Amino acid sequence: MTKVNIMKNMPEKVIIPLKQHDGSICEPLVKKGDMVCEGQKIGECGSYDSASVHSSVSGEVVSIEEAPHPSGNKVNSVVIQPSEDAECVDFKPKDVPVSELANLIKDAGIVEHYGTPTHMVLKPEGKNIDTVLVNATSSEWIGGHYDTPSQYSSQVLDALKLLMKAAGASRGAIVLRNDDLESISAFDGLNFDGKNITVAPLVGKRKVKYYFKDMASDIVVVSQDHIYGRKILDLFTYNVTGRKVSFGCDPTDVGVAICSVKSAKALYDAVNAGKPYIETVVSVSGKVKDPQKILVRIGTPFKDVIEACGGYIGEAGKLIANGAITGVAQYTDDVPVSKTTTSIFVQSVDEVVRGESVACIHCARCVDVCPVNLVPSRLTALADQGRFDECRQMHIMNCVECGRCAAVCPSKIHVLQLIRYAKSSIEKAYEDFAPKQSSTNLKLGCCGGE
Amino acid sequence: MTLTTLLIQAMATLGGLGLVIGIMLIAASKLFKVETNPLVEEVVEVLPGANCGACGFAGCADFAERVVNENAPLDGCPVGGFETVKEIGGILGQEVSEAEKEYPYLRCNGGIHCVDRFDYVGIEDCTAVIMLSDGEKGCNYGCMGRGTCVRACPFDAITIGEDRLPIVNKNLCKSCGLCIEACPNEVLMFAKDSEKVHVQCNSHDKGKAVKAVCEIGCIGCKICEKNCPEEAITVTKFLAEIDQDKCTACGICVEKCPQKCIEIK
Repeated sequence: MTKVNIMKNMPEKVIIPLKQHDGSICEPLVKKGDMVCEGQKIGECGSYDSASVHSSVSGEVVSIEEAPHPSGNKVNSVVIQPSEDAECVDFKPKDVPVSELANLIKDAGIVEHYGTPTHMVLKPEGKNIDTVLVNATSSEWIGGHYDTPSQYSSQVLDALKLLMKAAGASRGAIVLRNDDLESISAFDGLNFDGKNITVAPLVGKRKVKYYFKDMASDIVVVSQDHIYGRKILDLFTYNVTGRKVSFGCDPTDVGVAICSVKSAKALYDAVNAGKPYIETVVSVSGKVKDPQKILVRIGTPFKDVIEACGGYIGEAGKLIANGAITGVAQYTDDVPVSKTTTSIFVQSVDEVVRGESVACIHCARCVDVCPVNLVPSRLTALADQGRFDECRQMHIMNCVECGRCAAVCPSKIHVLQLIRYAKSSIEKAYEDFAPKQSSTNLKLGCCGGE
Repeated sequence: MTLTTLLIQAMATLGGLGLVIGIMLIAASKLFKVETNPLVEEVVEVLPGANCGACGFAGCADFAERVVNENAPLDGCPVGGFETVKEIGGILGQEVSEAEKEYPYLRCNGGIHCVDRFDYVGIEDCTAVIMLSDGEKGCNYGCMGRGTCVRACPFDAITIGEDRLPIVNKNLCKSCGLCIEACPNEVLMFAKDSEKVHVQCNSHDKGKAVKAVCEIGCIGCKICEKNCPEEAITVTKFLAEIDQDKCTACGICVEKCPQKCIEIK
């Protein structure tokens, strides 16, 4: 089982952004000088597209100010100085009726790793969810500290049942990675609800629907290849369930809710321990003395996390949150760990690529590595000239933004940035259209389409 | 057969063919004639023909049609200027009066005076820069100097100066407003030539935050507001705004401003 250490040292101050999700920003419930205790709600918003924010430490509110956020922008945040003599708070398990589960999720501030609040995924307005998927394909997203592998697997299964209840879905699946043998052996042969779990591989056209039937069970565990990227949800939905998500829609439109191990663990803790979402596991890698996976309180500045991992080796050149290739580079190590932070990657000064980009030499390495079979070189050339409509015709919206094309490019062309630039321009141009209308009328084939 | 007969034959054949096809064409143009208002064509003639879309319609021909048939405003074309408006008025027999010309004005003087938070390596375009951490400039409201407005201008009226700020060439500018629309930070605005006093800042940050990143940004100290004899200046959200109707260009605010961010022309 992947070893997760617990960060012991209390940071000097924690910075808790009032917006750690996609949606409306929370209003602060505390003011400067207030004493708060661990798990106390410090930010709330009345609108549905928002998740509450809790204090992860006991201490004094030093200020409420605009502070850096790992997404890159500045966000109104509550800065808390932990006090040493703070009493330990005992969280009590709650007995929650099924109808209240979605409210509990919103109240506990549970947010998916891709930003959407979990209750929005499970109970989207005006849509029905019939299948809940727990994406466990990345080992970076281990949700918390587990003593044994079987504790991990049984907790995730319990959490999946809770997620299904909250969504009112009849079926659920946990998706593991093919080569993640630790997790597979943790789930394989596990007795759950009187049934022995077998991890089934998703091969060819044999999707998760087949296994629901084959195993005569509503909860299955399947495995597939490791795919990653920022906009992975549509592709993930297709790979696992075979349902196509068209342009402008998201998986909830086809009745699929995708949750991560992190939110599953957070929900399990919220129900069984009464604990809101105040700590998360971050994997620290790169040029630090002791790379590891570490359980930290949300709001801990990156520098304290890196300090806990032994500090930098030499001078740090670049600090990247959420993955070396897909992530966002940070300009300061004062940014706090937020609910959507999964990893911190440190590059040394020599490793940072600063070369000028030169002309494309048509080596097609980007074409070779693209996981969704696009032609990044062509898309880049078109995007550079502002021919966004032609980009759209070449299915640019299918890009999962994994960043492999930019990483392999020998000409150091900013492939991913150009693609994202084109994508945002296209989205802006088509935002007036209703999503469903645009996918059929304009023949925008995203994830297949027609 | 002699050469002469050959020539005559060839000329007769080709001439006959031309005559037949010509008659057919005339017949077709009479048969399939599309009724158009002759005024539309006249208006198209006087329009600049840049097809820039600044009027809000799909090109000059569309604008002309709307003006003639759907009573669109005559002064819809900002590119042609008053001359064009006068000509259109003459064609349609309407009275016109001249409006003062407006030029884009940059509400930021930061440029090299504004600190960078990090080194940016990527595409040279403001819209792309802003996608990463709101741009590398310390100030989130100011000009990023990456030239999105330069590329948006169909008349090559904007250039980036040495201080990394765009300069508008008023001789070339046609006031189409495409640069103002293109700017992701909305730091450009229209200003008339008669409006003499302007605040060269767009930052709504608090004074302390502005001072940390920019030497010449508005800190919202309200000194200008208190000293203005005409009460033309109001400070809202830490940024001074000048009511151009009240301003008499006395220059007191320019003198009093501790950050020197108010400009008088």
